[in-house]
Amino acid sequence: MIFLIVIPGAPAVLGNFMLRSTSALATSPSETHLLSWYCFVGGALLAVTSLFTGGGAPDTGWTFYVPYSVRTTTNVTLAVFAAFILGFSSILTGLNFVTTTHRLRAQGMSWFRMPLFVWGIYATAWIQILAPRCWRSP
Amino acid sequence: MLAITLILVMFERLFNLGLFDPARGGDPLLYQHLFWIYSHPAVYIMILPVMGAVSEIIPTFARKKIFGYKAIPRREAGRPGERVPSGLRIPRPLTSPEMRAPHPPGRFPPRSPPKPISAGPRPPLQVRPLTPAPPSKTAEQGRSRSAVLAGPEGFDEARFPVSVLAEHFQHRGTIRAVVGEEDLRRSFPTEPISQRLCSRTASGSKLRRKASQYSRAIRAACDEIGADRLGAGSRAPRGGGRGFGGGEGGRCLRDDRLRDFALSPAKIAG
Repeated sequence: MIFLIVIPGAPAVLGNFMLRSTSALATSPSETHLLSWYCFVGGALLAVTSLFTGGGAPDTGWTFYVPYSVRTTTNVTLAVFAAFILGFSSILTGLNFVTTTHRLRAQGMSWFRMPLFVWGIYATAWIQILAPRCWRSP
Repeated sequence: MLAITLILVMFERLFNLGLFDPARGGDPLLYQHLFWIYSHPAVYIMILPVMGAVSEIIPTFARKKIFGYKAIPRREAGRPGERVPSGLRIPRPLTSPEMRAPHPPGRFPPRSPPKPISAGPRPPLQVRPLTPAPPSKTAEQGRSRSAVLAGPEGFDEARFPVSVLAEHFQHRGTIRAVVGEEDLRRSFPTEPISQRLCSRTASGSKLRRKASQYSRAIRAACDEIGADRLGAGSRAPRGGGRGFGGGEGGRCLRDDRLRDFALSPAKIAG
């Protein structure tokens, strides 16, 4: 629920619709956008599959705390892999929003004219890029 | 960070490495540390867009400007001329020109100068026939119709007698005639009104000097506007309006008799 819906859902839904309507004509680039969507669909399929295959639905909670997640016989491995794929979707979404905010603002929409919502989406996008993977902060 | 953590869990399950097993030198808390390095920022992934949405919704419905707007993005991005810790600045190669040199607050950025229009063949004149007026009870309502009678190249002296033109250049009208300087000179070579019109139109106005920088089509349009500036009245406020100098580029002639002088669709097509 957390990795599949909440974390990708809030910025993706709000960002794709509202970031576009408030500051930019379109999100960019479309390839990144599409790849993010494909990663999300693939991760979602794996997550749903993990509920019904192997040893059954993971019973570790959303945190996958050890040592229980290591010792349990439920299908934790596939669920963890699904979360791994969903992380790529979040990264690509963040890249997309950062690019959009930087490059596709409407004419006259300077940085300090942007709505606070766009600033929120923008900051979220940086977190999405930096947090799921161990990247060096620029 | 999440990916590394999850991969470690997968390896632990698949290959039994003992990374999180105290009996083999591992530490279960290692997982929690790694996991929350990601999951704590993940909280802000959820809350920041919501906070942004709320900060737009409340000022909208309260009809008040939000307090402290600039404090938030400035902490986020920094601004030239301010002492902002370098760690809070977005790296310069990623910033847009607007960010490197933001415009003064309260003003839109200056517009880029208009591209010069390349000289080319003169565009076809837009002449539309007089639209039939709805039946009106009073003569005042009947004056509300308008149509373009002729353009700089389509002036027809036979259809526009000098008397009608001379009379109705001084009035607003139902019919809007777009008359250019060349047409005036050609159509009324000896008429005083023509000379007056031409002299006023051609007498060193800013409009004409500016128009000389552009193409012939623009100059023709400026001729029309120049004719409009003679005081017969236009629909737009004088000096305001669109394009060069204001006005709608034609005179407003108000007389129901001019309905008969409108160009027919067949003549326009021809």
